[in-house]
Amino acid sequence: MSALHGKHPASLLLFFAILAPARAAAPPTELAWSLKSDPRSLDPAKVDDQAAETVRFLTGGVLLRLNRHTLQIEPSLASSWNTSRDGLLVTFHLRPGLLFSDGSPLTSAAVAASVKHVLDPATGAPVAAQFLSPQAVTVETPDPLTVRIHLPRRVVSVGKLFDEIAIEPSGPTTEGRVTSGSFTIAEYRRGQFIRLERNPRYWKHDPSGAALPYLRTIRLDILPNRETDQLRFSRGQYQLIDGLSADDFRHLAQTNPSSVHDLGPSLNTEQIWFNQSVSAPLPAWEKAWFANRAFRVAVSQAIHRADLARIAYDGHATPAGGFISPSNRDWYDTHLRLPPEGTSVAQQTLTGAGFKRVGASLLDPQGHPVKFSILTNAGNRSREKMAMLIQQDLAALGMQVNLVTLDFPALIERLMHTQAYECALLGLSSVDPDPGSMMNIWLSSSPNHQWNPSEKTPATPWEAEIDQQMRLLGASPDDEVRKQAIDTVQQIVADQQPFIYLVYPNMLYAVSPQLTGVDMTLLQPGVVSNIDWIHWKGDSI
Amino acid sequence: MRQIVRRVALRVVWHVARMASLILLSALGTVWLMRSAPGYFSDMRETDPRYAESARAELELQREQQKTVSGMTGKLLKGWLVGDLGQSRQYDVPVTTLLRPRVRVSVQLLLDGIIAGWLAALAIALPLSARRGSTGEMLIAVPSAILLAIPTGAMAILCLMLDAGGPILVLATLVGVRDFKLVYTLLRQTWTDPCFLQARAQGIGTARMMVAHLLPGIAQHLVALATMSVVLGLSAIVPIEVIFNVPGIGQLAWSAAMNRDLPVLLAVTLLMAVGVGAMSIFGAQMATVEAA
Repeated sequence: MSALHGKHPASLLLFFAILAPARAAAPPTELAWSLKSDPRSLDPAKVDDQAAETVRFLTGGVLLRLNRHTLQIEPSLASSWNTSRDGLLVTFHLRPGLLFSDGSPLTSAAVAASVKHVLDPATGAPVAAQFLSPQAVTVETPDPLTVRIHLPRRVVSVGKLFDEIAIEPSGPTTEGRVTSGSFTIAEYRRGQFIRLERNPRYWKHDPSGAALPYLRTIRLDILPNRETDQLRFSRGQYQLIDGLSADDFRHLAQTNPSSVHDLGPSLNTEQIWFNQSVSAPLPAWEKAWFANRAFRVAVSQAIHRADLARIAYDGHATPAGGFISPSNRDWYDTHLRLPPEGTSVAQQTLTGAGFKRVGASLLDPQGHPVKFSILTNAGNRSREKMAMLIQQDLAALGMQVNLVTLDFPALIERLMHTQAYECALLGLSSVDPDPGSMMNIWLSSSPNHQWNPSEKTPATPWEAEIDQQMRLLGASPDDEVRKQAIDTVQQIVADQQPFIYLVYPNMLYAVSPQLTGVDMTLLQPGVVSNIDWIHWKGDSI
Repeated sequence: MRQIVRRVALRVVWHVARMASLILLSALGTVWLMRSAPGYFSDMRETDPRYAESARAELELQREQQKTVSGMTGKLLKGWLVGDLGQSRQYDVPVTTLLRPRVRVSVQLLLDGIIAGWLAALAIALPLSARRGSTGEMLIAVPSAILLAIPTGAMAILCLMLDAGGPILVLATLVGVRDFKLVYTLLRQTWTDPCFLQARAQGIGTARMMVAHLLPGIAQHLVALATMSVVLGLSAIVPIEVIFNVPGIGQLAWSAAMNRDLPVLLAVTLLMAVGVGAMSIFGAQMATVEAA
């Protein structure tokens, strides 16, 4: 007979207690979504990462705001603005009666201080470089409501730059605690969350006169492990997902189809490129393949982009031919001539360049078997799937392709420092529809000229031509000239294939049906671009 | 008594010296491994045309400051001696400000998990060990073997997906399952001591025997086992915190490793080394006292 009889309610209770759900889903009192990482700085002038940019957008009041839909510059803290005919003087007229969130007046002095803080080399503000000669810029405040900014050189699309300059009170930065934007930072726990509260003195009102923003509080969770985003959204802990993956989109679409939104092709691209750097530690024959236009074109021709979009992105991507997405209507070249796609045409291109097929292998004109590795970052499922599909497509040509996935720091070291790679597969996030923002990628002298960084002089005539056209794009105030220049660059890239564009991933968002007034955009911050107008369904506003 | 105190004191000195050397070695190892890790002097922002320039300027400065491993280690340890754990590369703030709130979170999680695990282990082991037959033991053997075979990360993901339990449940299961076996064996052996067998034969109640004699008799063993639970918990805390997004030192360690944040990783490594070392010393002392 057993020494101890009966049941043991205490132990059972303990188990039920620890087996209970970690957190019961409570009705939301604040709008919540996640940031991938902590902002590197809360000083709005020092924004140099995505998380900080989102925080700046939500908290920073700006003179002018770029409308993420129309791409037009709209007055914000400044009620009006103009530039002189020579483009060297920009004048802003502030709205009267503006206040910071702490009640102090927002005058031209604060604007001047904020602009100077951004232009100060000690601040290291990334936007300063776009003023071309930031140290030579002077700011004048003839009266409390007028600000004049004198530029030493004309800056194309200068208005857009003021969308990135948050106006703060004079003196040391308050790091978002005192703002002129929609929200202020109420609490920040590093690695956990940022809690924002409505700025009670925000200047904007709706047509009925109600103060904006409608939302009272926002919680931005710092969530490095993005895989839990979808789970938290499903449980009602988050109301938004900014930049949903194709896999998560599919899962959510099954359970809550009304919450997911596909905005069509984003401005971002996914591409592969071959290492054409002269200093790369690669055998001479490999360098010769990668520098060979026919080789690159053949690879491009052999890749079935529609399959990439269908399989790797579950249909939520659009095959890409160039670096400008069809969503970027002002700059997309509708007459772009792309190399024809198909395995047989790719084989012909290779044969024309002296490559020959022996059995299952492709040999170069010197008899070296064509084999190389594609390098990409670990953990991005769509990219890994694309790499595998490309591997299959190129195997049909007799190329032996291996896949190498590395974590980001190791990958970047190879791409940016040691140049120890053959082919890379990565994406480029475009945050500005104006292709002038891609100057650093296309100029041959730039360290971000990925296929052959920091060229002392353009390595090829077509790169010299790209340089020339990009400079024209950067300097000309004439929109037609600029469009012509970028069309030329698009065609050169299509002909030469230094970047072999694969797909434009679609912009995917998840929005809780509890919210109303959400107006998603392709441009960052996408799902909260109109944060002032978002509110809970049923809330009296 | 004096002899016991002397023996214990000597062992403590020996353990502390051993721990100090271990800490020094782990510091050197961490610095060397991290400094030689691919991508130490790279930054994800380098590929973003908007931020590349500022990222490169920062890296250049760091490269200047961290030319040699010995110089880096010396500087870091010198800082440690005066309570300065350095500046985080990733967040650009003092490491202490990152650690302080996170240590609290992790300690709380460890305590909750270990206590829950122990309560569960005792709640099952106490009644089972008192039984004469082995049916109960066999019944519990299969689920505990299965739970032991599941890696911590997999268990955490399962809980997350099922929305059943949280980090405490995973830690408690891990600790409970591993300690159950040890506690059960200990109790089973104790029950078979002649004195307990005789007491049973005389009709003394099991509960009374347990409270008055059995548990006090094996308390030191249990404490020694509990210290090992802390070591086990520390080793599991990284995957658990990462998967459940718990803002503790485990998550910080993972993020520091991913971002090559040497000062933070070093501080967390050393903190964990001190924790493990202290628990080992404590466990060893309990054994010494017991033997004496």
